[in-house]
Amino acid sequence: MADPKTPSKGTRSGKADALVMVLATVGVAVVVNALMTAINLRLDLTEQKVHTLSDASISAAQSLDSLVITAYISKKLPETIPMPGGGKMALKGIERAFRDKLEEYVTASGGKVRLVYAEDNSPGVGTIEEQAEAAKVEAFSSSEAQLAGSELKFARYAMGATFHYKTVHEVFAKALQPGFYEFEITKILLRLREKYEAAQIQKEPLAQGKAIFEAIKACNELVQKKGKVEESKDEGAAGLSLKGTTDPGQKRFDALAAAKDDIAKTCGDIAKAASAATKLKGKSQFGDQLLQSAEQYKSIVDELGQFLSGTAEGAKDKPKQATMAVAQLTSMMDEFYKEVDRAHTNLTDSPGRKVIGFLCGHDEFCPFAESEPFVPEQMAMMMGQNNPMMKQIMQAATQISQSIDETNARIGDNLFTKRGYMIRRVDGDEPISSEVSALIVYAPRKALPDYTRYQLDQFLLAGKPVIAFAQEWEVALMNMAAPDDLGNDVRLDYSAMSATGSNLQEVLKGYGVDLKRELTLDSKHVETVKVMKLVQRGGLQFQTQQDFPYALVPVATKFDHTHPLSKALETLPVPYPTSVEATPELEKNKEFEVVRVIQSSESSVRKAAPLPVLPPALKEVALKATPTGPHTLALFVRGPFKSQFAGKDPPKRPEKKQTNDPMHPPRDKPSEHDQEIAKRTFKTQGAGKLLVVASNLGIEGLSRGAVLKGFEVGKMAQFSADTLKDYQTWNSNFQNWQIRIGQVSHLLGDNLQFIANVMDWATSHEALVEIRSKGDMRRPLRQMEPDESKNLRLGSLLAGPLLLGLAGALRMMWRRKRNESLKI
Amino acid sequence: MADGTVVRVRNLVKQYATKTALGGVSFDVHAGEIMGLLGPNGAGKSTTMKILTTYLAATSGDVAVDGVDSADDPVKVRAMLGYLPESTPLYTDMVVYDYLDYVGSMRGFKGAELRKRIGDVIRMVGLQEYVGFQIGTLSKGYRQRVGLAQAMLHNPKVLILDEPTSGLDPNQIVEIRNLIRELGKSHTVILSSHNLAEVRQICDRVVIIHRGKVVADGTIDELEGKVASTHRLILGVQPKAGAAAADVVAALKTLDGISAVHLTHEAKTPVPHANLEIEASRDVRPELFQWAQRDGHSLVELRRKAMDLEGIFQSLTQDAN
Amino acid sequence: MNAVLTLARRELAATFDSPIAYIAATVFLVVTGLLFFFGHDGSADFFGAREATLRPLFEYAPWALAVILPAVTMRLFAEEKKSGTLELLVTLPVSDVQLVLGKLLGAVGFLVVALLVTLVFPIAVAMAGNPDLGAVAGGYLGLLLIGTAFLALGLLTSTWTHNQIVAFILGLLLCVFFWTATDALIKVAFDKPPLTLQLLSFRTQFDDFAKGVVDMRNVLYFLSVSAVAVVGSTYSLQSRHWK
Repeated sequence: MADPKTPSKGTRSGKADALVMVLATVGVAVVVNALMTAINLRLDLTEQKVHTLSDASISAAQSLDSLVITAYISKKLPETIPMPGGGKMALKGIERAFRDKLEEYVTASGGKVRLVYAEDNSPGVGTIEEQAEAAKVEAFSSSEAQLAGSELKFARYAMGATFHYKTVHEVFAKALQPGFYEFEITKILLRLREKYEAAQIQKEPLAQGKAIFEAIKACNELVQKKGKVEESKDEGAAGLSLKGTTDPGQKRFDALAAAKDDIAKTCGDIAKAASAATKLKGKSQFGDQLLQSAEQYKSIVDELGQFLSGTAEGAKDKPKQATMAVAQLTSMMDEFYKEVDRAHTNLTDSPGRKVIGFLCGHDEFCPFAESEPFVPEQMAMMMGQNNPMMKQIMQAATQISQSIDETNARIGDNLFTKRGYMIRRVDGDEPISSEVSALIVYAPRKALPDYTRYQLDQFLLAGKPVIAFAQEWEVALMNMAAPDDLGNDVRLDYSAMSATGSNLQEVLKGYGVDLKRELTLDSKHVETVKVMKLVQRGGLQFQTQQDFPYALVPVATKFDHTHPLSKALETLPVPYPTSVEATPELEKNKEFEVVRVIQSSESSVRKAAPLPVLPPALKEVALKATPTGPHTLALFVRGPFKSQFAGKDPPKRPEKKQTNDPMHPPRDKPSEHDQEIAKRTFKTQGAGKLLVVASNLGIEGLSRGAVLKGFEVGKMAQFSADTLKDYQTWNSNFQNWQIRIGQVSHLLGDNLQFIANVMDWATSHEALVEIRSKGDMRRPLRQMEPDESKNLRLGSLLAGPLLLGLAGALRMMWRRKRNESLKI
Repeated sequence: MADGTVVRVRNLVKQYATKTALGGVSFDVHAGEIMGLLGPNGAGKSTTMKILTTYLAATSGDVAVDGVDSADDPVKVRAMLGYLPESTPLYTDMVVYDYLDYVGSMRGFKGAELRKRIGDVIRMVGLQEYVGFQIGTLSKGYRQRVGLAQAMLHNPKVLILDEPTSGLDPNQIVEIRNLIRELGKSHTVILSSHNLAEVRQICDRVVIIHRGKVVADGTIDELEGKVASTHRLILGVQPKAGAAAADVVAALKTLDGISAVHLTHEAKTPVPHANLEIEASRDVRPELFQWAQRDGHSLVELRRKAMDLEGIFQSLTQDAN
Repeated sequence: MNAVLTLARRELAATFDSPIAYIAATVFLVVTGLLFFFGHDGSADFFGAREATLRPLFEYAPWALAVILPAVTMRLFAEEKKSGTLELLVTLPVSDVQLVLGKLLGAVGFLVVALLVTLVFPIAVAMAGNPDLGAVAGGYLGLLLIGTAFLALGLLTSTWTHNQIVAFILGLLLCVFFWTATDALIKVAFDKPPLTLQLLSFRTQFDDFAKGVVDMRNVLYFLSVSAVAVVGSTYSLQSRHWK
């Protein structure tokens, strides 16, 4: 009961006043915070400004007026998702990171970019995940199955975006790595611009391609619709129905036959569209591909038409066979339609895309299947007819050859194609296609013949980047031994070092680049190799894996930070490197720019091979040597190169072997491409860009030639003991490749990143190089002995508490002393 | 202030949820005086002091120190006060010197002046030996000195001491009282106590609070005069031979001016006598002497009964009614 | 302002005169250290991950702070209330806000000391590799801000009671709630949590610091929470007037 005569004042503020004040404070705080959300004031303290859009990204966003980004983000993302290889990937905060990043682009564009979030269950469009899949945003699933109705299902999630710019379109299919968001998005933006510009020039071919595709699509839809038979109903009624004799195939045949005029009309458009596509033909790989698959599709349609109208050869009186053929043809049409769709997608995606060529045919890393068949089919048929043993070996060798092809194709797909690089196989015995805009010579282990060198020479002089990775030595560490004469079993103890047959040294010398053949070792800055060992224990054999610091895997520590390739590099492990220098003449020549992109550490040393291979012995060598580093492991040279073929007759193109392979018919007349090549004139000098890396970066080429050493079709005709030994050697060669890749596979991440940088740089997406190294600014720990890391961990765990305890004790002592001495 | 009033308290009301602690307390404290706030436990002394020190806010009423209203500018008022709460709460883990240093800094002193003041108050309260001691290790009496020292540190206009001697042993009580008397020579002091003797010893003036109300305000003598309308006497009588204590009581009751006689107890040794308490309307001591002589009784004791607080309250509140 | 600093200094000294400061700081060091170097729940340990980063430290440290800081703030007002020293304290010529700020500042002093000692981790990482020092600085600034907010919340609960244990438990609940439970609650309560609600969570607000990004919005958020807690504490102190 407060006295009404004296209103509260000053400290006498009552309960109600206090409540009001506290609420008001909360209110002010909320309002101020809400107002601030509109203000984007961020301070990025990271050294590389990892979390700030780089200038390249900002200008990319600003260059795309009226770009529309549609983001597909599932509502409730799982905590983790399984990763290939067993691990789990945490998705914490990923949604916010993605939204933030997209919104940063919108902000950076100054209103030019519009961002739309796909909404759930907007009428007629389905769930976000369904919308996403329709937009070709990849769906992924969590590790926990969820009950959907009565079924256990892995829930599907989407996290991606589509980008529409005028007439062109790109998809960010799976956005699960926040570190790479900027890289991926900017890549898409740059790509959109290129694509749009190139598409403007290629309007006609693209329109013609589209017409073909649309015609086929219409045809396919019609046939599939008409040919759809509801089987289950029919079967259920079979017992009662008088027409129980009509089987589904017959029904389909009848339905299609009834609509045959319709089909003929609709599908007839394909031929019209194809013949009208004059601008498409012979212009590009993709146009030709589309035309080819359209052609195939058309021939199936034609055949179908013949069966339906009863004019097919030999089918007239055999209705049973006709129905079966029709069923087969309709399903084939659907298959080929997918092919057409893919070809069309490739075509629409191709404008402005730069093709990187990989030189193949010299046992180098060549991520494609071989262009020549292993053994022509007819020969294979003939062989081994008189010897079952040979037949078996033949089959096994064919199998090895197949897995090599598959492995290479898969590597190419995973490492490059899926990451948006357009790569092309370049065979050295043919002129290099003008579509190739950069050439990679990846660690050839056989000499490049003159004609190939000539092609390379002219390619370089045309101003297109040539990147050479060198592998001068083959290091077999605890490999499978090739069989010896004693017929010993497979052992994992073969260690040796042998020179490859590469002539890169000679090739490069002509351009002033001195590729050394000595290996570069390091005693301090090294990475490990993982070595498999067979261990006998209790009569059983176990495979164990052990890490050894390896002097032949020096960690490069010096980088030229002015070059886009090495701008952001801090360390890079380089497996089995030699080194590379500019010749003194080149060094002196002011017209050339020479950049030591990557250098080994001060503690490295150059040693003539062969060296002991086993880690302890090798370490001994490295420790004993006086350091001579740093040595250059990657060298970039730009300048007016002179042709090595100046004043000589250009080498002759080797004759194509006649293979009689029905799958690869020889070209009957020269294509436009050939005509273009014929018009090329010889250059004696030209400004070029050459990058030489003195290592294969742990990616050893897997090639038929290197594995199936000494394979000759002729030898297969007759059995000999050597053939069996050869076969065993091939087998261990193949396995050794896997072993060697495995030994340095843990370094692959860093090295692949560098290779990707090289490819972006080569296709003049230098901005991307920078953004990539920013996104995954990896900061590896230096190599430490196990004891050292243990001590460091223990030390830093104990240091804090010890420090605290010491400070506390000192404080107590000081206080006691001081208190005793206190006097007035 | 012109009239020398340092603290002015007017109509102080403190209302808690269920009870009224103060029901309109008013008094003044003049410069240089030691004012005793007297009252039994729960009378409202502490509440009054807490409001004076601005620890609590009054429900209504005004407190002004040196003309500054404590509701308007509590910080300024606090600066003029030194306060020693009941039971002397101190940071027991601090060293005496550090504690005074801390309080002094909080009051805005620093450097040499702060050191000088600390030295002064430590000498004043006699803690020279203990500056380096942890407060928790000191005896209660010395803790009280620390409390006084912190209250004195800034040489406050008014020193407010809430039950400064409670919980101390007799020797400590004497020491602390002497100390307060010393302080009172140069300061205005408000001191609360439930011990009348203590107040009489130390204070110049007393305000008596009972059940949240001021029941008396004046010097000790004034107060005693006020309550002197009833005289209480202690009488020891050895009745003459053959007479019993009851006879004595009956005889006394007939005397003029005596309103009541209580036999408190009869003693047998060394001199058998009856102890009596007498209430009279005036001082009847001469009549009693004469009566004893006349009737042949021997007086072994005759004195005025000391005024106890309860008695004063009773009489005062009776008066008030 | 001088009084605030004086009070802060005394509180800091008092904190380090009692064993609780050493215990709290040691627990903080050991827990964050173990989590940092050994990882938890299957995450790779520091040397296994082979990455010179302090991100994991910044993921675990707020957890540890949410637990140990209420233990440091619990005594600030509860003890004074219990021993009666509060009466002397509030009758010093200092306003209540200054008292609250002084106490908070003293506790922040402890936080700074505790964080300084954890610098052995970045030093160890710098010995093993080349961490991004900018990101480390951002993370530490974040820890300072989130720690200050935790301290302010703990201080608030300390004004509510004279029982230190009660103050600690309430503070702990409040801190853990703000750090993580908002996330969980929001997830339970909403199918698609509104962004504004997500922003209430300390964790959401702290993420950017851990990355090395100082976003003024996040800074403002933690300062706002601290400010609201300070105002709340002040009025809680003044509640003696009307109780």
